[in-house]
Amino acid sequence: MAEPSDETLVARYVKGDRSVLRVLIDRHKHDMLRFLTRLTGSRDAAEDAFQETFLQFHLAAHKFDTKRRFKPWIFTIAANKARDAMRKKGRRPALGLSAPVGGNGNGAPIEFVDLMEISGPNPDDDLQEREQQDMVAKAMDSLTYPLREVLLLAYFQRLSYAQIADDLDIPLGTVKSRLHSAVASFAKHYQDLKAQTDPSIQSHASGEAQE
Amino acid sequence: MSPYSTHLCEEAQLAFDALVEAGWVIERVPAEYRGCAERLVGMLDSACDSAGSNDPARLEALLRDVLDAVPSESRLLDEDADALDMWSQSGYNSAAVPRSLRAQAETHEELARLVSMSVDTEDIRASDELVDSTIAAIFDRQPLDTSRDYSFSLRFRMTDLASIAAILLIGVSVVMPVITSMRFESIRKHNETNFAVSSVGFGSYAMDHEGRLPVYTPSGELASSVLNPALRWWMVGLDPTQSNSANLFTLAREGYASLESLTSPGNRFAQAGDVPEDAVDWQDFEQVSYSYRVNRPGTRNDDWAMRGIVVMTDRSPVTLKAYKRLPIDPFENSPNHAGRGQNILHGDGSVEWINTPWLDRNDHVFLPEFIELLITPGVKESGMMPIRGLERPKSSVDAFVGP
Repeated sequence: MAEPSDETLVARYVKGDRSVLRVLIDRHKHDMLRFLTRLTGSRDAAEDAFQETFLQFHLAAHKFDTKRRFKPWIFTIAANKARDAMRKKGRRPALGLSAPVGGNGNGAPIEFVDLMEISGPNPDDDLQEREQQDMVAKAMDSLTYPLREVLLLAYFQRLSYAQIADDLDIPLGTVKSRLHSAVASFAKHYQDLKAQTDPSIQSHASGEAQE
Repeated sequence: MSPYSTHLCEEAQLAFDALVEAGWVIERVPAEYRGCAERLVGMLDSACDSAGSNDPARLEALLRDVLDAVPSESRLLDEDADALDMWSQSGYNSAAVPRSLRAQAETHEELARLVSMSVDTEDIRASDELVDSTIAAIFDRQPLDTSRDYSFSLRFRMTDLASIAAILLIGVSVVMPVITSMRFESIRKHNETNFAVSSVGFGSYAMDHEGRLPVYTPSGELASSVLNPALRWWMVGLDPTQSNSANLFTLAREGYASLESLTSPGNRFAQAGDVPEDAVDWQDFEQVSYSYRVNRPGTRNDDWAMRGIVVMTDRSPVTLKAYKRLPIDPFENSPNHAGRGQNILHGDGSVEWINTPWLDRNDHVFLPEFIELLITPGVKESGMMPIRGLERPKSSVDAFVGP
């Protein structure tokens, strides 16, 4: 017999079947903890956020629209809880939630990143998988929290801009500009790290302004 | 030893961050931090005073040093950014991205694989203790408010319960259609008013622009590129010289109508507020509420100003489906009114409510004529030839709107 879907389990939980909570947590626990660890950069903060996420689920389960998919919903709660957990630990997000990203004000210069110049993750690459994972993790950690959050929700969770805007309660235009900055910064850092490991790869940091 | 603390208090730290984020422009600092930010800048100023050299150049140099310490910001090239938007809008399927941007979308796909790899690491596993403590914490809290006790405190006989259920059922069956109908009528009236307001805007625009309907730019060079039949008119928010919604947005941009009057209450993704001042189009395909006449190359400026020529309609269901690569239904009405019908704005300024997308003359308001010829109006048929955002009306009387 097929396993009941997450959405079915949530409906059962709302009706009072507490036994399904463990099933739901077990289904997503590893993915969730990895997602939160990558998001917060700290195992402790991730575990705090993990608990808070499911506590929030418990409190809000009756509001869940079973026509929606459960996984993106719970991971969006997790992203919000990760932000709270970091705040508690004194690691404030670098930007306020409603602050748009983009534009350099009167300060930092803008560096345009051409993705096509980024040498992609070739499976035949000499780099060991482990080494590549470390570089990706470092490139992710180099992003500010709001950028990392939106990058993971779009690239990893594959949420639409409208869903991200809705779930994080920020304007759609902010999602868009934040994601553009996140991808550019991630690509730049990844390429720079790769260039350090393999001198034959040129760091793309050209700093050329686009016209 | 310095008598002063070497650390800023939490309030000052927040104000300092806000100041840096605002590019050191006090006016841009959020109101809650502004007072403290002003004092911080004042401190920098008085630091120069106490050194006995009240020298603005020196203060400026100091600030520049701080600004130089801010890391440079990375941005994507335009085509990479467009590809990212298109890739997202197509459900993260690079094969569905237009060919001109597909290579960039595939690079995004690769980068996304990298990002996912950083999450899918086997090193991090949630322990049983974490799960147990999570469940314990949940059940220690107040019980779920929906796990209420549904049992009645009074004893009812089955016949009583059946009577109550019947009364409730009758109540619901009477009230629900009324509420639904009221909501439908309210949305219909709202859209009708929007169309009437817009019609005045179209007329005023035409008066000021040699009889022409709004286009993104009236310059001869760009106007001709707008009419290029190879360009995709559903590139909302990506390229105003291609996007037909940018042409409609011109009405609001140039002040002939408010953005609210181009926003349907039936579109939950619609956005009338929080739009940048320099916006030239809606930001996202789903934000568009109304579909606008697709221009046909070589049409005379004033060929539209008569009844029977469709200038604007409620959002086209055809384009919405085609854009998402779903089969289209030639009998489907606009989603603005839950599929019950749509308003159309004629060139003479009149607004008409129609409950089928087929006009009297067997002209489908959301389809160009060459696709209409492929289907029989009397037969409901799905999975027909997809629209690709390139189509144009066959003639100036062929009704065809998008996106």
